[in-house]
Amino acid sequence: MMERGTDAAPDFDNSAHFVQAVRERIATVVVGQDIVVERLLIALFTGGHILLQGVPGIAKTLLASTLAKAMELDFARVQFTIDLLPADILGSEILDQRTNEFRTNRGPIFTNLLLADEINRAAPKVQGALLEAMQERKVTIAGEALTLPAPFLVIATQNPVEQAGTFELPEAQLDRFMLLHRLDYPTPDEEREILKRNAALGLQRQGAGALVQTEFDVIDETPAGSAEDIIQAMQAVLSVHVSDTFVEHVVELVNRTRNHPAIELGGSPRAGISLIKASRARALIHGRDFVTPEDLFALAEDAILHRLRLRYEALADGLTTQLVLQELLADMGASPSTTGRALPEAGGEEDARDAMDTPQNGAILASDAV
Amino acid sequence: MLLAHLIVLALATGPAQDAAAEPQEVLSLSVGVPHFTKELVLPGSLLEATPTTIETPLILRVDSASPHGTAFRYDLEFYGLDPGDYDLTDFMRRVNGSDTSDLPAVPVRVASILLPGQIKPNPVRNGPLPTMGGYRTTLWALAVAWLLGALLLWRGRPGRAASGDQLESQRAPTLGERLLPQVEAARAGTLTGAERAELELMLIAFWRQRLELGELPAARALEQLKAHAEAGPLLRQLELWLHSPNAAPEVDLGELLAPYGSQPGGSQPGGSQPGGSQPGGIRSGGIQPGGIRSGGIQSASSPGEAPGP
Ligand SMILES: Nc1ncnc2c1ncn2[C@@H]1O[C@H](COP(=O)(O)OP(=O)(O)O)[C@@H](O)[C@H]1O
Ligand SMILES: [Mg+2]
Repeated sequence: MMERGTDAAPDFDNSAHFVQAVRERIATVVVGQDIVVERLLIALFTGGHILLQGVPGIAKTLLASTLAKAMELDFARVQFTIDLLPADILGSEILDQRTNEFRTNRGPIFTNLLLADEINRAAPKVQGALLEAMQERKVTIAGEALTLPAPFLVIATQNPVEQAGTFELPEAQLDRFMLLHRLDYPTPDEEREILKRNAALGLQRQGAGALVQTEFDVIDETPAGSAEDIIQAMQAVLSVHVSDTFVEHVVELVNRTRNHPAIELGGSPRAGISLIKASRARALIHGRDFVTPEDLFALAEDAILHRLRLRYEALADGLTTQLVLQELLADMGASPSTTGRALPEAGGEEDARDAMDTPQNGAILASDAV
Repeated sequence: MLLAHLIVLALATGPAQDAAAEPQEVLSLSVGVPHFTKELVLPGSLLEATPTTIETPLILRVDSASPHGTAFRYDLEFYGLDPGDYDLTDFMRRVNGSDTSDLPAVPVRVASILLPGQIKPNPVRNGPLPTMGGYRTTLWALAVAWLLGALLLWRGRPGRAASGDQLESQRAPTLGERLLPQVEAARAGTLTGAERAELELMLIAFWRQRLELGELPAARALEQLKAHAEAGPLLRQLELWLHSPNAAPEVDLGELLAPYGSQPGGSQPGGSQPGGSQPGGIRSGGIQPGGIRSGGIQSASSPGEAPGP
């Protein structure tokens, strides 16, 4: 059992300030969307990649850009299009005309924070190249394996799959994202504020002419937090306590997804690992040094939903994974446990524990491969 | 037999005109038995069967007709419906509508095989009636059985108050029934880790049902529960007990679980329970919240390298 209190407290205080500063900074540009900001911070603090999904025009790009610019981190943005090539993201080997030598040209992926905008507009092969690099945190160019910088975080956005001209990412690819957050439309109050703020934007001179400003032009680029702040927050997340009881809850939930009659593909162990990681970061953001069922219920959808696949018959009946998961969550506790009374010994859940049960003094960071 | 007919027909057709006075051999048929006549030559233009009505006593069909000099050669099929003597040509007409009086008679006798005077079959004798009623009764019985079955299914549905004791014993225990023994066990400090987890989920579900928040998504419902005047403090206490690494000593388990059980909660402070060598009800109850210890960050050997092994 780890000792907390004196030495861990400063981490928590500092992180709380940092979180507050980032939230305030984002709020100067983006109206509302607090939950999305929370999820982005969770991704940042755990090193897990995040996918934002929503219809066009609800500030997905704006949010990701604002967050990225508020950090003292390297930032790159790639707009995914149908004609994008893997080399456009990863980099390539080019012949230097003057020296007549081959030179490695590193692509935009060599950054700390990569905004992969509208990822489902690119051909599946290009998506695959990015997702693989995300997983491996390595890129191979001309036979040479190049390690990506640390931290390395991908914030991807995508339009809902019904939108024309998109390539749906299969579950196996989606699994590489720790979280998939679905954005909603703003509330009427927020919408009013968005419109007012937009109307208050001015002109921006450019050369001999001028342009009407957008929200993107008023993003403050001075960092709201240092790289050290992020590292401290990452450290603080790792000292957030996860009780055996919480692990039980996660095992129970994941198990229920596997046994549900409407679900063909249930949650993987990685789903459970993601849920616990994200819950720890959420606890930190909410000023707690331990996770509670609130974190589990709040994050279940983002951490698990994109890894589930419904049976064909369930789809034909008009069910969605969202409905099924909501039903599962509501049923937790209301119907008897499915995992039995004994602590489960199954490999997957052990992984979850192993990943986090590393002794603090061992100074080893739990594998980030989520 | 066939030969005899041919002779009859030859007699009827061949020298018919001039031999009209001669006695003819008449073809004799039984009622309803079809007869086929082939190669019958009749003078004049093409003939067809007269359309029949409900009263027609003889049905005639022209199977085929082909020219035969100035006449036509016919294959006919016919059968009589009423006994009597008929002329086949009465049942034919010219396709071009002209007169048929120039046709020779082709007599046919249709006879009944019934006894003279008996034109109807024997009357049906009354048999014994089936004892179990008829078709109607069977249908009624089926309908009643179906309704009874539906009623039984409806009554046996979960959630319906089951009147009989036998139904009572078959259904799954309700949340309240499952909760009670768990709460008792928690008081006694005999819960395993998995049971503690289930207890927490059951308590959350219990409050959701009690405050009728079932319609809300689980996350929203829990948010509302935490803000509720009665449920909020209790659930927060529960969280401290089960999840906090260092707040456990302040949690009074007896008070916490009082609203759920029949036992008076406050009268059983945890510290007075057997085995209580430490302050605080939880630990003395034998419950030691375990948990995941933290990892640390390994400083990368050079900047720009990914953390982790
Ligand atoms: N919550 C919001 N706060 C501020 N501006 C918003 C918000 N939602 C939408 N907008 C407006 O919508 C525009 C489109 O945002 P963008 O990030 O490009 O959307 P997306 O990437 O989701 O298609 C922004 O430039 C801004 O004018
Ligand atoms: Mg966009």
